[in-house]
Amino acid sequence: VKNQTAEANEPVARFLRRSKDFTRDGGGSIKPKAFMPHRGATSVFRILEMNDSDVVVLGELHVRSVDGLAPYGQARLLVSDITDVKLSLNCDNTPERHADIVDWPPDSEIPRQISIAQELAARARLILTR
Amino acid sequence: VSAPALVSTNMLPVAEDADRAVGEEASRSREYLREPSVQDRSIAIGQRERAAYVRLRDALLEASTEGWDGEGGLAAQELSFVRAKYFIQGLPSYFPIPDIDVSSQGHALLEWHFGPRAVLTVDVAPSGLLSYASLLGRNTSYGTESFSGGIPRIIVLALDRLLSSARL
Repeated sequence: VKNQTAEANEPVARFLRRSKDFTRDGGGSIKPKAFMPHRGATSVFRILEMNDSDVVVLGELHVRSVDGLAPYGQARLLVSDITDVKLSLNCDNTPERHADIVDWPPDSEIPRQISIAQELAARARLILTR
Repeated sequence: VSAPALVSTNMLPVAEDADRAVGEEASRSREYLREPSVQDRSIAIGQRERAAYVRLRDALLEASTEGWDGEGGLAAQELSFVRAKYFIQGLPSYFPIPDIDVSSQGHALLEWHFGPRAVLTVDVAPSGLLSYASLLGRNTSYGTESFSGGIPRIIVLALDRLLSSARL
């Protein structure tokens, strides 16, 4: 994936570092905190044309959970989910396939940040790998 | 139970008492981290208060150093957690104790999560500023309120709506 601009129907994965990023209750869902920005960005990976096992390997290569193990799983979104809430994707490709969800409200506007993160979490699909 | 009654039920003492209490707690933050002793138990710490205490303590300890989340998150700020403790104590007792996490700014993050589209999140700043957002179906609301002794009515109403929807 070399394109600097992602298509609306392109999938991205947010790797889940903490067990508090999701709940297994009710069939499983993602907590809004999983999408909250750090210094104005939420780190994701573009996973176009990757099969599920390759995505797991991508996470193991680049993301460590807080317990030092592989990520707990992924929260998957489409790029259109991101643009629908007035955010955008900065495809820096560093490391390969990496991108940041950007254009968050500033840290002085925490309520808006939380509200957007709630919507992203509601739209995302949870895939657990451990 | 009508909303105004909810607000007045179990409300914290008047603002200045709460502020004084928070100040005293903050100055004893190390004490705050310790396990309740046998003596504490003898003064009837309720199950609810104990459960909240454990969740607050665990979150605070998990985020005790900068970068605790693997993404450069700031260490948890104890005063925020002291405020959060008083906030939870001030909730009507039939509201469930929230899940407790830590924001990337080190604030206590209280969350009632009944499903992807039934969630209320409250960020408690050390200053007492409450930043809240709720998602209920397609409806969103968010804003800020100050916490200086009583649970803001708008947050009680949001939680009440959330609980009502969860019971349906």
